[in-house]
Amino acid sequence: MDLLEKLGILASAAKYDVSCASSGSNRKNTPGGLGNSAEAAMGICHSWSADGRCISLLKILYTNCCSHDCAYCINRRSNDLPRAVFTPEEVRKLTIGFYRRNYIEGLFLSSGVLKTADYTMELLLRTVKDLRLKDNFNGYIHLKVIPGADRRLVREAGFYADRLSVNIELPSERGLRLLAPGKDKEAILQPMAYINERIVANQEEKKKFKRAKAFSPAGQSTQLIVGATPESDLQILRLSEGLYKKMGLKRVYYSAFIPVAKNPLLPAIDAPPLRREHRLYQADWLLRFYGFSADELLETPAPFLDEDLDPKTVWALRNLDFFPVEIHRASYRMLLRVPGIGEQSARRIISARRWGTLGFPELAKLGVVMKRARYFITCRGSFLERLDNEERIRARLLAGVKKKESLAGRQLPLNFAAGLESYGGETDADLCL
Amino acid sequence: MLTYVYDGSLEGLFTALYEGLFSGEEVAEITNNRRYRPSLFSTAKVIATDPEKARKLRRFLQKRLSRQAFQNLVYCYLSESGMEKTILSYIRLLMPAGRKAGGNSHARSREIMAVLGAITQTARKVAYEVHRFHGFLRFRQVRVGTWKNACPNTCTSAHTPDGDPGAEVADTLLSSCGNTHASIDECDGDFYYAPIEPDHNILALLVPHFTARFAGQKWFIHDRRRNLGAYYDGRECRLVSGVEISDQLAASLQGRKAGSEDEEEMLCRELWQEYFTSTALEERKNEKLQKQHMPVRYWKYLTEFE
Ligand code: SF4
Repeated sequence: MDLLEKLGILASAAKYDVSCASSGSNRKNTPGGLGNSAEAAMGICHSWSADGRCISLLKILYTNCCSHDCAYCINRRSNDLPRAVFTPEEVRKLTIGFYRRNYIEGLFLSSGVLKTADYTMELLLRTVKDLRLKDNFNGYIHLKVIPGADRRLVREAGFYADRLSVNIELPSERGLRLLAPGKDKEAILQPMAYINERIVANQEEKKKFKRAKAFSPAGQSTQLIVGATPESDLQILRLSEGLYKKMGLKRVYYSAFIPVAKNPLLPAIDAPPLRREHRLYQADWLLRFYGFSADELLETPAPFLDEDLDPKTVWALRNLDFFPVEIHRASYRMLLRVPGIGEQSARRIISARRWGTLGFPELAKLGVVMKRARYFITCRGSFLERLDNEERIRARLLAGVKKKESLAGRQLPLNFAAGLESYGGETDADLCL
Repeated sequence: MLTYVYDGSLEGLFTALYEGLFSGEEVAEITNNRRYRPSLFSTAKVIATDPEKARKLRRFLQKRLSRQAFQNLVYCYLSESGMEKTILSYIRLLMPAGRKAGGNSHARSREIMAVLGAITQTARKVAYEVHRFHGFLRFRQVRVGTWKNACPNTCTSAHTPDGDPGAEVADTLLSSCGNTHASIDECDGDFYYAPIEPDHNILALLVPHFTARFAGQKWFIHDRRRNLGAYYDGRECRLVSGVEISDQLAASLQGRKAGSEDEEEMLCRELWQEYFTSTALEERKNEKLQKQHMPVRYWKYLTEFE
């Protein structure tokens, strides 16, 4: 099998993995070396594939041969499909060739389980080690940890990768038992906890000795599949909240379940639940940057996110007594809670209001999305539009959403995964700076 | 109505701004000689570039402005979108007389907001395009061809990656002599060549990123719209103008097979195209979103669309 064919198979096999962030590592180039990792808060996207996802890393599996039989996965043992295995040299050649031509920011290497977890992990480790030591490669490397692999291997991998990740796969232990018979919660959470421990310890070391080698400097992330098992959005968001707080994760990625197999254990759906995934990303954004908690966003009687309106707007409608927020007095935290005001626009309001009075047209210029914000703010005490009834505001907002959708046709430009670098258009006006 | 016409260089613009501030003339428009169109209603005054005046203005600006604000002005110049007059209004607001005039009335704060808004917005557009090209630029390995620098002066684009980007680019642009010529026609080892056609004149702004990232390889970034080049020889980077490329290279840019590429290069491109197709999820096809992020005007030199 030639390299071209292998690449076709192993890129195809990896495409269901959604994460593609490449920032936050700050790895510098070395004399005689090749590459560096983006220092910018915003990662560099090199291309966008036909599904609208950003391409930043060469995302491949080392092999799609797998000794497990997870029901939701196309690479499961019982699936009849062409299989391939790279060699470390082939992966290096692809990575370096692509990187030198500026096609990519780096490598995202994952794998099916070939023979045993340790055997596979050894191969992955050798590949990234050779890239760093033999090829002097300083670009970004995201490495998947194979659940069940020896700690020693995980530890060593952390010194060569910029980010490590262990996929949590499904949002509950029950789901795992049902669909991923070869894996259990412990096999996933243990390496995660261990990586977190190492990252924290490493940060301490780095404070004491500047030259201490960095361990997974861009942190760790994980991904889970949404819609293959019956968990609610509230359960999922609580899980993410826990992962951010207790495991120190940088990012949780959500992947709408794509029906890749017919199996009585799996729900029968024709299309992946993209809208649900999109709302989860928005809610996740609110957890990480806007100071919301999972239980504020959702309550047990209705534990799923609204499909028609974004989670912050829904929260605002349920908490109308918090509003209106006065633009000239509100704190940064309060401004952030207003639908239509994002991090950038909140910061801009705070610096602009020092210079004088802001009116509604000025707010629009600062990047506030007025069609959402208008019902929730006052400028020097006056409303742009006063509708203090939840139902009426909701109806008005929905009318706006419907109109936009009919204009845009059926295809919704949903951003997802690393593509989602802002909360629901609130920083649209900011572009990149 | 008086229109100032300058030669298109940053030094020329600084001279024109200097004149605009101190000559006492009422300037309606400032434009470069490529964009200038004579009109019945305006009188043109050609501004001869004066390095001394340009230096004085620069010193004034750097003293008065934050790094960010100075950088914004340079970016506005590079945007090539007719921002010269706005820049002049902005500098007027900084002058002591401008500060006193009108006190703090509402109309005045509106004016400040408008000028400031236009400047930041334009600068942001330029910065955004730079960011995009960090990703969209594609190198190809070229075996045949090198460039010759026919300019007697040495024009170097000194740069320090951690430095002050606005000042750095100003340095670069002010020191290049403007009459360099490069031609890529003779064989002299291999290097990586990247053709670009950006909306704004961002070549100099791309240099720091690519110099840091590809310090160990020789490369040439060629702005084919403006015929400017940035050549990095493995140690330092130079900006050149009047770039000529060989017929072979030109043919290969148009997708025709040319002798200038070897098999390794062709294989790598093919592999990338394979990867590009294989990584897309059929089930989530969304070309509208793809084009929103990557407008079609940038596709011309993207290997994946060849
Ligand atoms: S272990 Fe991973 S690759 Fe193997 S079947 Fe399960 S999810 Fe798929």
